[in-house]
Amino acid sequence: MHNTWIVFKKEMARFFKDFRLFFSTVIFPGLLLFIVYNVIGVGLQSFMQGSEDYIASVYTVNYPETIRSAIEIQDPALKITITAIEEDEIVTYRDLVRDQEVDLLMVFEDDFDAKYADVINGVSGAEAPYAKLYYNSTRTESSSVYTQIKAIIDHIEEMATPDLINLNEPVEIYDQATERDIASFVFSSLFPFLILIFISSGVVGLTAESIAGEKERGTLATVLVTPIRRGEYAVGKILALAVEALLSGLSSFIAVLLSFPQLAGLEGGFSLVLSSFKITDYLGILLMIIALVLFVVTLMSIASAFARTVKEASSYSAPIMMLLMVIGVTPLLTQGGAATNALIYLIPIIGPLQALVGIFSFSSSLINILLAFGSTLVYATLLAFVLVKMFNNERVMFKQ
Amino acid sequence: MQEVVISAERLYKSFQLSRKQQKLTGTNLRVIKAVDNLSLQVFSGQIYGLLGPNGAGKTTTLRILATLIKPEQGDAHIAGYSVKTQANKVRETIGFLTSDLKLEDFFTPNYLYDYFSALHGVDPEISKVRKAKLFSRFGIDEFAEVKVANLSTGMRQKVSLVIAIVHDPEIIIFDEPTNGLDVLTAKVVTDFLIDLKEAGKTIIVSTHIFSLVEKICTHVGIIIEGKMIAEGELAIIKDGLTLEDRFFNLYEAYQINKEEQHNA
Repeated sequence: MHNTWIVFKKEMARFFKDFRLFFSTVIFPGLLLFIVYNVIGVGLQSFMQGSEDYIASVYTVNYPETIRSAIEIQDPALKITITAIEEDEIVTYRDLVRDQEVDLLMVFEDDFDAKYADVINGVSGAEAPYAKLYYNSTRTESSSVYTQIKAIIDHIEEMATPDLINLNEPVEIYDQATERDIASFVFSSLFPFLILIFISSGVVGLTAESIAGEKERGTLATVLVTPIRRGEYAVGKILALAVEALLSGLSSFIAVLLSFPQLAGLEGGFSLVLSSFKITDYLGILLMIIALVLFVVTLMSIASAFARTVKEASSYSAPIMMLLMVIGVTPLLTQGGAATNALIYLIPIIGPLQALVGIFSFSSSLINILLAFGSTLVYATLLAFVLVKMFNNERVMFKQ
Repeated sequence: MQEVVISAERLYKSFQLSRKQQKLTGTNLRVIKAVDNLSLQVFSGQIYGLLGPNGAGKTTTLRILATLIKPEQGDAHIAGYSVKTQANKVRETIGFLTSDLKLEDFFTPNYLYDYFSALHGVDPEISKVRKAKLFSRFGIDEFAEVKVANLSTGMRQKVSLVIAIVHDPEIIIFDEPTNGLDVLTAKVVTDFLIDLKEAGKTIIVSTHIFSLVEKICTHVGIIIEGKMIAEGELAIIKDGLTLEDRFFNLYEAYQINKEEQHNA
């Protein structure tokens, strides 16, 4: 253990005293992400500002009082002009929507108000009236006005359903809930992926330099003729790389946390989600990040130890990196929240990722977190043993 | 009676050749024997020179003795420890130096000395005294805080030398000690070897330079194509000739013998 500490200290000295290395792995990626996201954010905002002055053209067949009053509460925030048309003009205006001349066409049933009132009053056999919205999803203005009107109609529909009745609830609250949902969704689907990618991209360069680089420059052999045990040396290297990868990943992650909410227009939602996390959630996130770091570091170290040069190590890590990215997007695909099957938490990488999804979507369980952490620790230990075997193998260490 | 501190017993080591290497060396052999049934003995206090042409297996032999690679057959013992089964004990006992072992450019001689001293488990107080002595002996003191990257080749070699002996080993294994060094640095190295001999250390060096062997070695082993051709006290091996003449006699005899065996 004493020798592990000596190696760890030396690696740390190498990392922190070399400003270029520290800058390129810790400061630069975070700074770059922050700048890029903010530039995109400013661009997006000016784009949004431009469209804010836009007044959407909406045509309607029948304009029931229920809908009119709901829309008028929202006006002028809606920025629309509503023109009534006749039923026989539907086809013409549908084509205009298709040709992006008109933003939205609404078609309501003839006696919408009466039917709606029947449903509200619980008249037996009452049927809900229909409402049809025609929009063009390729046109931003059309999509945007569609979403707003749809939200209003949904709200009216919800009030018609007896167990959801809440007449005094203003529409704004409904919107805020949506923002929190979006933020929570971004957290649970995007952030596990980002965490994995930030960690891995830092690790690739660091392990290539630290192991293949030392091999290439002949400095590894100098250490191998001292009485240090290969296991002690490997563990010292792995721990140092893990700390470096953590710092590198953390810097990128902080950059995203600082700039992403503005970029996505989700400031409110993000702070809502962040303030909902308990200290145990943060601990869980930290545990899962440590698990991912240890696994990726040992995996990449093996690739690096196998390589003869830094260049070779980078080419070995490219397919591993791609594999990690594919695994990383799995939380994006499984939108139904964290996996429920406990066995999934035993799978390397996927286990910790799913546990992160669980924490971010407020559905974590301590058992799953511990399963993911424990199993990853076992896998990382096994990989570390492989690394020690490689350090002992002259063919791997001294092949020309 | 002096005690045997380094002994190699029928060492055998082969390397596989890639197609590219086959082309380069002009053979169609898949495997070459780097060390072929080689035995040697070095007694306490000797400076033993392993002499041979390039590719004779000198470096491979020394790497086996230094536990960097393992023999396929045979074994070697350093101070009684087997290189195969007690590699760590061997590493504690020896100082190994070759131009293949490099120091990290980023660090200073001072830092590296302390690092390797710690890895060898040297008591910090002893280490401090020893460092001061060695640094002043080699003129490293004024460069102690200069990064290795900024040192001259000669100074780097001196630092490597000092770092190989941070633990004051009784046995020193030295692969091509003066290779690639200018005359001044080469002299520093040979003088140092003589110093070590006077301090009672046992040393084995590999080289293809006859004058170096004649100058510093007490014993010599001549190795050709992985085989030990002649071994013994330098004066006896020389048999009244210069070492160079004696070597070429032995080399010719070896080639004739080989051809006869091939024809038979």
